[in-house]
Amino acid sequence: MKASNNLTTVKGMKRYDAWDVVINIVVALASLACLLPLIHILAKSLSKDAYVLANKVLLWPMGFTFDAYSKVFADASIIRSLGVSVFITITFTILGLIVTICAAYPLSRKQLKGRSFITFIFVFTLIFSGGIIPEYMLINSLGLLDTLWSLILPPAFSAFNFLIMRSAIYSSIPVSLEESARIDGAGHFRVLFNIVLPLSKPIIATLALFYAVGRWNTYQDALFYIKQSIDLRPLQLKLYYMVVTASESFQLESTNVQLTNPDVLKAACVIFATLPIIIVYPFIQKYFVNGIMLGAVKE
Amino acid sequence: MKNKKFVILFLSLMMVVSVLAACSKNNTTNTPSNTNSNNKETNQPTGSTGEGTEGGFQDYSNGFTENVTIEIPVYDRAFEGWNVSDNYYTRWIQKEFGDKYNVTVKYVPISRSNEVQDYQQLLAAHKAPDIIFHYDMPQQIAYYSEGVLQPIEWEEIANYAPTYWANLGDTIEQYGVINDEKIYFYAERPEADNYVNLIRKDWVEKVGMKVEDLTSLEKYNEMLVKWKEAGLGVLGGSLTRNNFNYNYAFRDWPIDAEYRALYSDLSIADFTSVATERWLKNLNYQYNNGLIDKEFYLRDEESKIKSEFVAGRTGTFGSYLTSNTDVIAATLANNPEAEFAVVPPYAGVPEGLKPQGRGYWPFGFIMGINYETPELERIAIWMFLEWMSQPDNLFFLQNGVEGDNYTIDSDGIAVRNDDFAGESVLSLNNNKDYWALVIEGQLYDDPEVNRKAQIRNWAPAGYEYLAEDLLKYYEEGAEFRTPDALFTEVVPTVSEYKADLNELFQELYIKIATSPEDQFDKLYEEAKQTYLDAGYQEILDEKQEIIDKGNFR
Amino acid sequence: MKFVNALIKRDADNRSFLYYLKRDRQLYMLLTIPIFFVLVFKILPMFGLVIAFKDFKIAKGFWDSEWVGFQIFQDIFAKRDFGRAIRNTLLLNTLDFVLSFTAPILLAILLNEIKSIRLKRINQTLLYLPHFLSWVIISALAYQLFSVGNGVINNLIENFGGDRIPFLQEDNHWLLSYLLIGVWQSMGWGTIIYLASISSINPELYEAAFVDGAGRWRKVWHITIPGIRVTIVTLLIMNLGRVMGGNFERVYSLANKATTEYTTTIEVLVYRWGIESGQFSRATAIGLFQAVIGLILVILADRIAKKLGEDGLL
Repeated sequence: MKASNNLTTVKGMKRYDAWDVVINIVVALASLACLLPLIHILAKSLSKDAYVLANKVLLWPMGFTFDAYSKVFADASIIRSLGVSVFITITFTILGLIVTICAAYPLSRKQLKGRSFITFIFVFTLIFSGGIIPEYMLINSLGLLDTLWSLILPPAFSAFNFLIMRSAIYSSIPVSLEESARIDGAGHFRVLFNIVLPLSKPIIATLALFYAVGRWNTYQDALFYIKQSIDLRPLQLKLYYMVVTASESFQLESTNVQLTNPDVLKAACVIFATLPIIIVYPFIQKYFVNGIMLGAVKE
Repeated sequence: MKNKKFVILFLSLMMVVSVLAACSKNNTTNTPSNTNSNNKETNQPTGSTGEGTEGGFQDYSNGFTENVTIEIPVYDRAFEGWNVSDNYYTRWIQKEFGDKYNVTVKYVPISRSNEVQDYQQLLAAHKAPDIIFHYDMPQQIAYYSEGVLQPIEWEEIANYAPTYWANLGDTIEQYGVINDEKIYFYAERPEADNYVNLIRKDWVEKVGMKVEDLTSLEKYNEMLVKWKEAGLGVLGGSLTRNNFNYNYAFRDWPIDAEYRALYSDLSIADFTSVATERWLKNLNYQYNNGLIDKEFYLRDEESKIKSEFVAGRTGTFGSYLTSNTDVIAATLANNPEAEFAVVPPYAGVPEGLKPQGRGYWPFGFIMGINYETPELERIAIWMFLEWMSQPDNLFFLQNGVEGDNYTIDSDGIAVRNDDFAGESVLSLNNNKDYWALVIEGQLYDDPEVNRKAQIRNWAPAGYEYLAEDLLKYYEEGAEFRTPDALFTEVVPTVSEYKADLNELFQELYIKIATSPEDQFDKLYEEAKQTYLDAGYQEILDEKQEIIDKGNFR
Repeated sequence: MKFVNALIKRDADNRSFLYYLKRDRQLYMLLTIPIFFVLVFKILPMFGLVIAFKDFKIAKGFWDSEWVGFQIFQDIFAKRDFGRAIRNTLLLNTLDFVLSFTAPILLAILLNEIKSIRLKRINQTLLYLPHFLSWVIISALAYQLFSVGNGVINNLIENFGGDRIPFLQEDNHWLLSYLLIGVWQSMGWGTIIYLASISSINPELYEAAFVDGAGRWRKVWHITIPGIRVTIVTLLIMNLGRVMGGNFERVYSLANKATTEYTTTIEVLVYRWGIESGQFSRATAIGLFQAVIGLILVILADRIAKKLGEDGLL
């Protein structure tokens, strides 16, 4: 049985009709609209300062140069920042998934007492927040300032992701399946590991992606929490600082500040932000395959 | 029954949690908040006191008996490869100053782009450094209103930091009082300003004029008309935002001190004054006749304004001139025939008026002492400022090791050795963030030498004449520069309304400037009323009261 | 009160609490982990909400600052810009919701219909790229393309003999552009969730439908959409909780000072009155206001969903 998309016939033959053409064109146009700006930014990042400044660069680099990238890489600590970002992203994703699953599975069981109540608390924390100063004070009291854990622990539980996972478990795992397992004597842990998790691969892959991308690109918390230990700066924070430095105009400075055009730097930053995900996403995509898991379990 | 139980459970859960939170916070907040209320009294050191009695101060010139730790803030600009709190110079400072007096000097990084938030977080967590600094008076007034600055004693400063006091005592006495409390102390600002308005000289000459001919606004506008007819380009325009001296060229001269105090402000635009009307009318004229960048309101950042100039669409560009500015090279890359000159000061001034400018106050950093700083640490801070004010120490911090970082040339100016990458390499802005606590720029004793140094620092290679002109015009305009008025009382209505009025100002002035010329008068009258109703009238009233009391400088 | 009672009633039963604790002890054990995180990192900092009712001075701290009750709220509600901000926020968010919520669903369905796996994947990857652009960058791009004076698109239009269109420089045009750019930015990313959901649909349903002679769109209507119904409802309710919120960066970056009719929103005010001026009491108060409205809406939407037979959120 072909487990790709819903129009496959049992005989394995594909039929194309007019709608296919239309759909493909519409989607292609949308994709193009999404791709072109990135190409523009890539072109800017490879162009000479003067032309970027004059806003002359469109889709093709003008005055082709790797200047911006060489400035970024000239700083050896960029590699270290890269390492930091990779570490916290992976750790954060794993932790986040564990915490989310530990919330989503139990709360998807309708018979659990206090289910609505606990869900309500989680949703409550999604909507209400104390503010940056109390959060800073908390991290300070916990002694987590200037450590990587300040970037990993606080955001680990995301009520948003939890709700998505819970609804996915609802809709993809029939109660009958679980009940027959329970009748066979399996405890909840067994059910979780042997039935629910394997069947939830698409949603787990999705949430892994969300967690990873979220952590990779967010620098606002690092901005506040990582101050003294400059070795622990994640990549996006470093890049943000570079852009800020490049955008300053100095007054009365007898400086030897090397001013890079901030626009070119910004463009390089974007490329840095998107590259890793472009590399990782194809691996995640193979989980978005229709029904393959359900079928396998049935066997 | 069960329902109520659950409700109570939930509520008590919340209460327990908040109490827990309160307890853990109280542990850290309790002690300081107790000493906070006491601080203001115990600031007068018991025993040796600052009542001005001679010999009343303890002498620490041999050092403190027990080690004193001072926390000094320093801007963190995230320069590549530079550890802002631990580097050759912080260690040198510790060796030369700290070890000598048994003081530990700790540097606290404050992010340059986010400094107010940084300070607020540190203050809330009681980890803020001993000095709280900022470049703008309004923000310092805000800090004062938050209660985070402690009153200081001038005699104490004079005693422990005589050189520093000799340099800045007058400034501190003049400006450092608010609500009758002595709060602020300052860093010096050398008399210099490298802001310049560049113009495309080749365009000026193409329409048969000379840059020197631009002696009034009327002539300037004539030139713009000629530019338009020749299809060259327009005047560079930008969004007037957070800039409150835009209409100085349109003010009457001489200035009445009270008028000045009432209308010139550091946080609010004087939309309703006659000067603004003139400025706006001129802008409206320029806009309707296609003489200025039609989308000036989109240029809200320097890079956007620069972009228009570099691309050759506009013919003027104002910014700080530095030797490594990229605007000249970039403009030449896109417009190889470009030539540059400095716009003469009278060019923007209507006939009969004077090229008034904003005189910078004689200070750079405005500083206050953290309300939680105990007496000994405060004294150590004065001694620290004193030490840094010594010319030798200052010179070392500014230039580095002679022979390695720099060499003295025949003019007596330190010439930076750009290739040096040894241990004592300076930070990217010449360590400014360290010595800015005492002075804002580099100053040579000899004015001639100083001038030469400035030209070196400001002018890109081959364009020294720009810096020369800049200095010449600066000196010419000296008599017309007046500093802002400073109130010695907090003006609550200003803090209340400034954010909204600034937004309103931008909205209104753009709307009027871009309307047809015949509607100007009507629209401006309406707008004035709107502006007054939105809080400006209250501000004027309150300021007038303070002025009548004489509480301004 | 009633509401919480209702929550409890839903779970109420006649057996004792301990029985359930024992029966589902494994589930409760699992739950301790997320509850711990939520308690420590989300609920503890909520003490900060108290400054919405205080005249917060940093030196006095959270506990000793003077209590002012609802004064701050009254001050805010009385300000002239607040009413306008509420109108704009509701307008922008509602319209945005209609467009940006439905677009990913449609797109996910279309993507699912594409037969070539490779094309499917390439398109997916391309579509979510805009998600990685910050709004500052997007706005710079937008003005470069759409500005009246020198925008690329307008230059093209003029070349073809048309009139220049003020995409971003006229109030109503701005509104439309704001919404469409929002769709562009978020549609690809939103499809990911729906695609994951779609891939969980039992393929046997499709085969059965095919055998029954159902055409493409019939299948979409009767199988695909119902299959992702739970996801849609969940996301819908969550989005309703944000109707008083919004994205500050998005509005602030795309706005310009000449087109100000719709650009003052509540988030902008939080920034202007709260963060920019360092007045945390104000910022917190507005945030509290937004959150309370959001919570009320979520609860209402949840009730309605339940009445319509859905499982709802809570």
